[in-house]
Amino acid sequence: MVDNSEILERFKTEATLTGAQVFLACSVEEATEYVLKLVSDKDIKVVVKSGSPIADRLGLTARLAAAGVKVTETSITQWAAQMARGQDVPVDKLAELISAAAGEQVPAEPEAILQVARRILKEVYAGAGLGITEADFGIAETGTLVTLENEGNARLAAILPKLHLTLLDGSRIAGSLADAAELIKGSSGGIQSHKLPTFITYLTGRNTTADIPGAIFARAQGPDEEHILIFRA
Amino acid sequence: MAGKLRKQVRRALADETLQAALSRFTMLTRFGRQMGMTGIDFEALRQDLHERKKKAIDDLPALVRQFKENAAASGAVIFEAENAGKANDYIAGLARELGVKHIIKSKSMLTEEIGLRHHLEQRGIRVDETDIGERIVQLAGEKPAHLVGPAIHKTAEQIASLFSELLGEQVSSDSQPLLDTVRRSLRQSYLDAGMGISGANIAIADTGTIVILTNEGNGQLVTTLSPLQVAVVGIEKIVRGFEDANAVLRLLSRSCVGTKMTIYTSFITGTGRAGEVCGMPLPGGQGPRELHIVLVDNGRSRMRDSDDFREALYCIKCGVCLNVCPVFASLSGQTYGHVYQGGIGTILTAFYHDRERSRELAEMCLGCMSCKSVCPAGIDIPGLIRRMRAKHVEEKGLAAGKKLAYRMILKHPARLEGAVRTCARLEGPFLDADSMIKSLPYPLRSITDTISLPGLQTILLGDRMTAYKSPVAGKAPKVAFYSGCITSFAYPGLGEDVMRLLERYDVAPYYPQDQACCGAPAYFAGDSGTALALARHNIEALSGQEPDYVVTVCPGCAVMLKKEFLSLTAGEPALHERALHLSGKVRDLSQLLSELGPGRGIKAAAVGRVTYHDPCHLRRGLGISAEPRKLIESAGYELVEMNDADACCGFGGDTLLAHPELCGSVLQRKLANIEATGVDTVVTGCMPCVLQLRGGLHKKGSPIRVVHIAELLAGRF
Repeated sequence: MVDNSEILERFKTEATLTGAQVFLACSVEEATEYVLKLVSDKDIKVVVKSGSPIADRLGLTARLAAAGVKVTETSITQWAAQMARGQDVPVDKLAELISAAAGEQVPAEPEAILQVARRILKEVYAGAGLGITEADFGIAETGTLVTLENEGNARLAAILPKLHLTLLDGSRIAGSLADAAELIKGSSGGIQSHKLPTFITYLTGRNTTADIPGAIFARAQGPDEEHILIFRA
Repeated sequence: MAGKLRKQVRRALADETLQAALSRFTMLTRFGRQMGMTGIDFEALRQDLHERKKKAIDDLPALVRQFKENAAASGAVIFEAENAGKANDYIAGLARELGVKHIIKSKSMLTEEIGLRHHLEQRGIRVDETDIGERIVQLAGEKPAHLVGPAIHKTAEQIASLFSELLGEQVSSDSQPLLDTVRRSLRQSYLDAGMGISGANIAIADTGTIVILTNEGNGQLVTTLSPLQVAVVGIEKIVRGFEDANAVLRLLSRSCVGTKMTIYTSFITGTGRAGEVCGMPLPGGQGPRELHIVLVDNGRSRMRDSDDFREALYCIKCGVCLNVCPVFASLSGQTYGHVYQGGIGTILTAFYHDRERSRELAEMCLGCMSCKSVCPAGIDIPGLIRRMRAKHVEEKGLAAGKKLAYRMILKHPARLEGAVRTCARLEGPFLDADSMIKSLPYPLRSITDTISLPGLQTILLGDRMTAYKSPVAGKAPKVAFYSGCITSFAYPGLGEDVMRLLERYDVAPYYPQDQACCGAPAYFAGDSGTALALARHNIEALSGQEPDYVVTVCPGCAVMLKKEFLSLTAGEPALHERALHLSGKVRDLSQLLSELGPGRGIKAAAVGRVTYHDPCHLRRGLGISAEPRKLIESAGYELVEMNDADACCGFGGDTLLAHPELCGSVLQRKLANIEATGVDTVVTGCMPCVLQLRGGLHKKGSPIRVVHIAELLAGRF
C-alpha cells in the first residue's frame, strides 16, 4: 500500500470541518468496537446497510445482530437473500417468503417482487436508527465522500435513517475534485456497463438548512449526524 | 408603470419585518462569502470558470446534440422545449398518461420561470415543493425572494402559521420543533408521490449526466424515491465534461453559502437497475424507472445570438450578486416582480418575461459594481445593465426629461455652464445658513427628502483657474487636472486645493479650460450618442498641451476617461487611438500622489481620527483602496475603519431621480456605519460620494464632517 498519510490527514481535517465525526480505525477490532459503541451510545435498534466490503471484512452484520441490533440489507438482491435466509430459493418460494413478511400476496414475478421490495424498503429506511454505507473514495481537499451505484439504495440508506455512518477505505482518498473525476472515469468502465454509474453522490458534511430563522445550521431533511469510519488495516 | 415599481419599492422599504430579515441575511451572507473565499485563488478560479462557460456557450448547439445522444444512450428520454408552454404541456402530459396525481419537486428557478407548478396545479395535480424555503413561499402563495434562499424574508411566526394551516394543528414557532414538523410533513410527501421533478445545476455533454445540488438533501429524495423523474434543464447549463462541472462546483457553494461544497452533489446518468433476483434483472432499481430530461430554451438561444447579452448565460445561479447588492439589501426579491432578481435578474427578465419591467428594473441599478466584483463566472453585470439601457434608448428613444438634460444641455458645455449659473442665481431663497438646500419644490422634492443639496456657485472653477491655463514652462511632469462637474459647479474650492496640493509634489499642474462633462450620466442612462460627443470633446481638450498625467478627483470620471472612452470610440480608429493614448495618462489623485512620493513639507504629527469611505468607482472601477488609506495615515491621521467601508453610498446618478427613497435607504446604512465609528470626520475620494454623504448628514443634522482626500491633505501643508 502506498503511503498516503498526508492526504489522509487532510481528508480527516476537512471532513471534520464540514461537521462530520471522523474516526480512524487501524484494526478490525478497533473498527468493530467503534460501530458497536456508536449503536449502543445512540441506543440504535434498527440498522439498514448497503453493500460494503469493509462491513463484510469486519463481520459487522453478525456482530450487530449479536448485540441485539436488527440489520436489514438494502440492495434488493441481498434483501431477497436475507428473506431466503441465505438459501438459493426459486422465485415462487421467494415470493412466498416475501408475502409472509409483507402481509400480502406477492406474485412470483421479479417485477412484482421489485415493487413490493421498494415499498417495504422505503419504510425500513425511514424507520432505521442508522444507515451504514461504504464510500468508493474520499476527496481530501473538500472532505467529501464519493459513492457510486446503480441501484439507488446506498443514497437512500445515507439520507433517510436518523444517523448515517460511512465506511471508507483509508487507502482510497483522492487529493482533489480533479483527481476524483479521473478516478470516476477510470472506474466507470468496470461498473456493469460502459456508461457512468447511474448515481454518483458527493456527500460533504451534514445536511443543513437556513430557511427557518433562528436555526441556521440546523439539520434539514437528512440524518441528524454524519459519522465517517476510516478503515486502514 | 414606473410609478407602480416605485410604490412597490416604498412598500418594501416601509416593511420593518422585511428590513430586519434583510439586514440579518446580508450580515450572514457576507460572513459566509468571506469564509468561502479563504484559502483559494478566487481570481484564477473565476477566470477558469469564465473561460469554460464562454466556451460552452460558444459551442452550445454541438453540446446540446452531444448531451442528447449520451443521455438517451444511458436510458433517459429527452424532450426539447423551445418555450415555457411546450415544457409545461409535456410534463403535464406525462403526469396524465401515467395517472400521476401527486408530485414532489425540488427547487428549480427554471420551473419558476416557466410557471410549471402553477400549470400542473391548474390541472388538478398536487405539487409539493420540498426545499424548505420553497415550500414556505409555495404555502404563502409568493414568489422566491432570492435565487438560493426563497424564504429569507419570512419570520418563524409567519412560517409556523403557514404550516399550522396546512396541517390543521398548532405548530410551534420555536425554530427546532418547527423544523421537525416541516421535515415530518415533507417525509410523507416523498413516500406518497408518483413523480419527482428537479432542475439541474449542471449538465455534462460527454456523459449525458445531470448534476443536482442541495444542502437539505431533498434533491436526493426527489430524484430517487419516485418511479418517474423529470429533470427540467436550461440549455445554458450544459458543459462539455467533468472538469467543466468541477469548475462550477469549486465556486458555487463557496460563493453563495461559504462552504467548500454543497452538501449533496448528485451526478445522475440515466436510469438505475438493481442486481438480479432469481436470475431476472430489475430495471430501475430503487430509483426512478423512467428519467425524462426536458431541455428548455425559452429565450436562451435569442440571448446567445445577441452579442451584447450572451454573457448572461454564463450565470450559475449562485445568488452571490444578490447578497452584495445594495438595492437587493433594501428590497429583497419579490419587488423585482417576476422570478429573477437583482442585476442579473434584470437582464434575464428582459429575455424570459417582460421587456418593459426589465427597463424599469434597470433604473434601480446604482452601478456600484459589487456584483461584478464577486461573480464567480466573471459576468460584467453592470455592463449588461448599461447595454440594456442603451438598447431601450435605441428602440424607444430617451424619456423627454433626459433628452433635454443630456442632448440639449449636458452635451454642450457652454449651455451646461449657463444653466448652472442661472440656477445659482435663482437658488438663493432655498439656501440655509450652511449654503445647503434642504428642500426644493416638486419635481425635485423627493431628492431633497433624501439629502440636502449643495448650493451651486456663480463663480465656477474655470473662472478661478485663470492662473492655471497652462503648465509652468520647463517643469515636469505636466499634470492636467480634470475636475468633473460637481467640483466645478458646486465645490470649486476643492479644485483650488488640488492645484495647491500638486504644487507641493513638485509637478506642473494646469487646468485645461475647455474640459466638459465626462458624459457618465448620459452613458449610464444609455445615451451613447451624447457620451461619444463628450468623449470626442474631452479627448481634444485634454490632449492639447500634451500632459504626462491627467488627474481626477472623481473616480467615476476617471473610469470614463480611462476605460469607457475606449469602448465608445471603438468605431472610429483615429479617435480610438487618441483615447488609448489618453487612457494611459489618467490617474486618480490618490494614485498619482502615491506614485509621486511624499509631498514637500507635509505635517505628519498626529492630528486626530478619521474614517474612510471607499468610492465604488475607485475601489472596484480602478482597483484603488490601499493608496488613500496610506496617504491619510501619512498625514498624521489615525484611520478608524467602518463596517462595509466599500459599500455604496447610494448616489447612483439617475437612480437618485427615479428612486430617491431607495437611494436614501442605501445611504442610511452607510451613515449608520460611519456614525458607529465614533469619529467626527469621514474622508473619501469621490465628489458624488462627498455630495451624497454631506447631503445625508446635513439632512440628519449630524455634526460629522465629510472631506475629499484632496481637502484633507491640502490642510496638512
